Amino acid sequence: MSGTARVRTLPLLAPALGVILVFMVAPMLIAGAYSFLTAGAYGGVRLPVTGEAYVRFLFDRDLDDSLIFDDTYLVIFGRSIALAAATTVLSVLIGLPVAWFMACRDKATRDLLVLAITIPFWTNLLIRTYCWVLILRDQGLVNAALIGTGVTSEPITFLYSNEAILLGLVYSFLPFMVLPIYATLERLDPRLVEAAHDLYAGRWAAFRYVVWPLAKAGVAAGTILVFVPALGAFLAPDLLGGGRKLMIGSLIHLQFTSSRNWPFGAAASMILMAFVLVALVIAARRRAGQVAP
Amino acid sequence: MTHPAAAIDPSRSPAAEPRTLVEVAGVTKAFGSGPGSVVALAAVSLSIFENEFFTLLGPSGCGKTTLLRLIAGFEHPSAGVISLDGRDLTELPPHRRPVNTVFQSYALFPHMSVAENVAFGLERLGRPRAEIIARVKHVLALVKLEAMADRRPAQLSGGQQQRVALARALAPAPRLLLLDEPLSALDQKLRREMQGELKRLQRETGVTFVLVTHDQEEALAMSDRIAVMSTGRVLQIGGPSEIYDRPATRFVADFIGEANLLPGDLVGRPGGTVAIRPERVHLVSAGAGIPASGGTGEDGAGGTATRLPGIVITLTFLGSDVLYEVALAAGPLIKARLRDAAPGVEAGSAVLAGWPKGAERPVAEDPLPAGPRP
Repeated sequence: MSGTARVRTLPLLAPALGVILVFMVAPMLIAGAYSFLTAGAYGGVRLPVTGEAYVRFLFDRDLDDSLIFDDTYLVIFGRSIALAAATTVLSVLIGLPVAWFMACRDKATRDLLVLAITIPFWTNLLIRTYCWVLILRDQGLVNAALIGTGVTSEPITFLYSNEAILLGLVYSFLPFMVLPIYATLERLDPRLVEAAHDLYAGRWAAFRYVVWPLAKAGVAAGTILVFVPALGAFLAPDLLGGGRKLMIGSLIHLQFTSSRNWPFGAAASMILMAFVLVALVIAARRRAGQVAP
Repeated sequence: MTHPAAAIDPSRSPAAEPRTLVEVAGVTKAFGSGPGSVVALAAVSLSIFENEFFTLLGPSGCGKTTLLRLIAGFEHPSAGVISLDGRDLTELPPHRRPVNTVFQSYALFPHMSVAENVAFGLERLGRPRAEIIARVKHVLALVKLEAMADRRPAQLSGGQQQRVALARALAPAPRLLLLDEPLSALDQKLRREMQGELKRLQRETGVTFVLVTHDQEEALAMSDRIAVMSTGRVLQIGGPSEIYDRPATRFVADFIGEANLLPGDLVGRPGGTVAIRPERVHLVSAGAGIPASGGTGEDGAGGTATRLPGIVITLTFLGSDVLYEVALAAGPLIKARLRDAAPGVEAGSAVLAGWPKGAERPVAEDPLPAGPRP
């Protein structure tokens, strides 16, 4: 592109660039800058510039100022990755059949089902997650049913476990897996599946060799849409994990609220972002490698 | 599952005793249920012989594609039995039938190369790697696409995609190849070319072809036998010349080529309807009494059975032929297609329209509901 052409297209690009600058670049720069400052006593940040927040992620400072390796935050980080990964896998396992079921209906039913999938978004996530507390707690719906039917006499404790968090995460993010997969499957020509059957492929082979390769793009999109927000989630771990099983999102949330350590919260979110970016780049590289003829 | 690979035997004699390969017996297919159901096929019975090029011909909505999908196994008949080689196929899913399909939209797998598409069926059948490679190579050579083996379907022209679809369906050497309007997406010139190509492939592979088409010229040019269908019924089955020369019903006469359909009373066959091909009609200037066209031969030999007076309404020059429309004094219009313009016959001329003895064919009325009249 020549210099003059660039000058001429700039006004047209300006709104988009402005949006990116205000809503993406600026907050990231601010968070990045905060992570290198010192915590104010009542929240906020102050000088001097320091890398202390990043050091704290891995080390504890002893009384004599020597650094002792501390894995508390790494454990939280690892738990977040494990829970987000499990959420993603479960979402694929549940979302793919759901999306396939939807894609096989007629047009009117499909539209209705898409609407049904989006209905949960009409209610605040906090309230929906709290509903799971009501369902799962010792006096909750599930235990009432179990005791009522005589399956158990004492309530079973479901809440405040990794499993409860996982349930909440899958519940929160499943639609983000179903919708992109559905979008790719809806465009899939049903004749392709017939052609596979015609060419001696049973149900499984038709899925394995024709449906799955063509649905993969939707699964990849869904994976990003589920994994990334699940990694940073704090509502499900707070409410369903009872704040005892911290995830990285809850940790960051805490630093900006009760712990009043903004630089550390900012540093943790920077580390999270760096991890996500690296993961995405690796995934994109691998996909590009597969697609190349 | 296994089925014998069709031998490639160009020397096979087509005159051999026809052996029934597919038997369709009383097959009915209704979509939906209750009062809203639509009957796509009404008790259709027909036999398809081994090694023949069989065509299901009819207008859209006549049930021909439904019958094809029933044979392939994509649909389940509401009643009746379809058997292949004497074996009942009715409960067999598509992937267990030794039948392959060339889809109208080709339905090539977009994420696979040409060679992978062609190998798909063989791989599902669990053939050894070496055999698959050799077979893919052979079939791609058969459709003249060896050079395209590594391309993706999206990188090919429509005609090439069509060939890949053919190669893919032929690769597993099916007992029966089903072709669902395979040429409809191609332009006129390519379609002609592919007609010859399909005919050649059928002869070279010895596989039985069942073609579905609404194009009567295509059907006449390619088929050994044709089943003419309308509104879910088979009206006539026969060779191309038989169907053309001796149409069984009004619909067949009208759908295949052009036909004059006249009340039988006019030609001494009271009650029925007769069909006369426009090219069999000749015109005589009413004053001169001389035949105006090439009908003289028959005239001399057998005499003209019928001569009806009328007035020429229009005269259309068609290149090799001239088409006259004559309003008969008895009422109906009749078309005459002549090699050369009849001397002295113009619009408004009084003429005698005649045809050789036997050129008119009595045709039956169609079973209800009447088919569409193109």
